[in-house]
Amino acid sequence: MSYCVHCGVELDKTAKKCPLCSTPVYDPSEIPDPEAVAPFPSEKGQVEMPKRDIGILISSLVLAISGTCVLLNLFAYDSYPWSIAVIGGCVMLWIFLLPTYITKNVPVYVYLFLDGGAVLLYLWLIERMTDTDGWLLIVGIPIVIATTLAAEVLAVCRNVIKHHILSTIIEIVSTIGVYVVLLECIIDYALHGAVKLSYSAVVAVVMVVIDVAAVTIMGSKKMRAVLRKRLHL
Amino acid sequence: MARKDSGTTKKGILKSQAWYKLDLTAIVFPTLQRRDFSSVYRMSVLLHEQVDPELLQQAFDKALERFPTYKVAIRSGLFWRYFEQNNKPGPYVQKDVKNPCQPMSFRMGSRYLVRLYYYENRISFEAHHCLGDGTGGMAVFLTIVATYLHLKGYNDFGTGGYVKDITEESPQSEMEDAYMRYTKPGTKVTKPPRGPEAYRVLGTKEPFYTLNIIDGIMPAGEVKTVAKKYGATVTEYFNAVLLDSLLRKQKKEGKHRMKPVALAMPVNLRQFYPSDTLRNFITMVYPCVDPNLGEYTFEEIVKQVHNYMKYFINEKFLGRDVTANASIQRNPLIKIVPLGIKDLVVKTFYTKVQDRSSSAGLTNMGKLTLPKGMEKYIARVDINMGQPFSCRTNCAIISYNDILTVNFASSIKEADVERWFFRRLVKDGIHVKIESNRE
Ligand SMILES: [Zn+2]
Repeated sequence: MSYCVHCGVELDKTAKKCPLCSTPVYDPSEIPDPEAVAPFPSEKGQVEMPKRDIGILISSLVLAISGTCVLLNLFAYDSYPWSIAVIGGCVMLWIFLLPTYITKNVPVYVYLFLDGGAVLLYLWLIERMTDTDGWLLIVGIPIVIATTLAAEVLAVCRNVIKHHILSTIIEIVSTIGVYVVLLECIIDYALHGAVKLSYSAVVAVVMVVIDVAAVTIMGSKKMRAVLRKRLHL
Repeated sequence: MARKDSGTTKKGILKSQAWYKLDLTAIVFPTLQRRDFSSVYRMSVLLHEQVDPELLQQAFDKALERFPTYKVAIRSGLFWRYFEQNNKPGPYVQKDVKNPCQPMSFRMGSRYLVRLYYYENRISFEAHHCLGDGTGGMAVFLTIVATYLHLKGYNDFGTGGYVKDITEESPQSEMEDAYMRYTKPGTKVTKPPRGPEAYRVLGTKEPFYTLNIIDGIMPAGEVKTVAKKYGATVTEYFNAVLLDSLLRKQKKEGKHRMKPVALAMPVNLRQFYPSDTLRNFITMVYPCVDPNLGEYTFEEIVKQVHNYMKYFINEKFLGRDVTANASIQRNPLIKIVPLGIKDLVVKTFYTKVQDRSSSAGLTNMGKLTLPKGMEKYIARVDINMGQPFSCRTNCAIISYNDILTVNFASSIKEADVERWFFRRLVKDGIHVKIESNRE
């Protein structure tokens, strides 16, 4: 008969540690009995679960819309291959909605990556269809990559850094600052072939100020107390 | 609530018609159904010898015929869900698993809403809460166990109490919707006041699908003596211990703003409104303590719980809650809202209001009595509330033959609440033995 030295409760013969406080059981006078039966079986049961209906629903909806458009495009309004745009849009939507019907635990980064890829693919389709060369390479792709990167960075922050209102503010504010600067760089370069920061500089400065303030408050207990007092949080 | 005589003249619900409606409490559970969650509770008995699965299957088949409301499948109509007699093969006895109270799909397999497990000396019964409450489930389960013992050749005990006679037809009174019988249409009552949002345990969610069980086994006599010392009943004492543990947990989390700590405790309405029903006939009360009012000593918590119970647990107050619920269901406008929308509303209300009005669940089934002579075959009885809907721990208590068991079921990694709970009991001089499926 073993007891937990911290909790004072009697433990089962087969217990290797206290279930309440995880203190290991160490009883030099008691030889462990290999025949002893644990109070609970060790086999995990399998859960039978229905398939996600919504996945089938969305997929069949996407297929139906695409199919109808192809038929219409081929036989009724066949002046121009417009159905490709609809199908591309459907595929993009289908990829966006993946998290709602994938049952396995897939990291959010993968989803974001796929979303970025889907948008790129769609943009490429549009470019090919409209015969307007050039914009995709210098504006489209860079903006999509920048947006995906910003989303990925935010996702990493949310998963890695501990939840706190101030750290969340810092994460979001910093990401927005960098993102806006990147955006202006890309657009400037595309329009004028040179980069000259204007509005994004203002945004970046504001964000830096907010960041500095947040970091200072976070680092000082006294400041946090003052803020709480002032804001009646 | 108005009283009518029981045993109305209606014929057996499953004989005269092939389907019947869910009762007031049962309506909520199917709407909460998720891929990783079902409101499934569990009851176990520990015998003195190993269980014979083949005999158990025979007993299961025989006994379940006696309980038509437990041999059903749930289906969706346009406006409401309903139960339908289920004649598919099964349900089958299974080897017990480490992670009990698994989700129960309404559409997969044979659609049965009951399960029976065996492990060494133990038989465990699981049922979906929409079929009935603990009183109903216990009757079904103990009748199965009694039938099993009879098949084993132990015939020196009869029926009575929870153990029903499987040779007789199931009476209509066991299948009635007692909520509807005791509430008169058109009765206007003021809605029960809504409690404050309660503290929610901050825990690390276990991966799908893990249910952590911690059972505390203790002498019922010692608990009774201790409770008496505090001037409380056993239920009140355990309520106070759990509230105290939750208060400590909240304090340890060091949140800036403290919230009231409340328990959700089902009350068996049969003690106030006599009914033989084996379906749901319970309502909830929420004893609570607000740490914002100041530091509570344990004695003060006991006193608070004691007064709360005295004030709220009576025919009038409990009747008000049920009547208010029933009048919603009777409302003709609500009746014609499609099921999908109803589900959404009920689910939203449950997750945003009801689930947040308590920090943990606690139920005490009290002292279990068996027919004379059956006691010598049963060593221990456990009940388990099953997987909690949100990140928290649920606590179910039952006593039998001077053995009282407190069974915690939680879906979070931390066992802080359980630890403080049992340490308090030990401090009060109660001998506690712990069994768990945690690793
Ligand atoms: Zn311990």
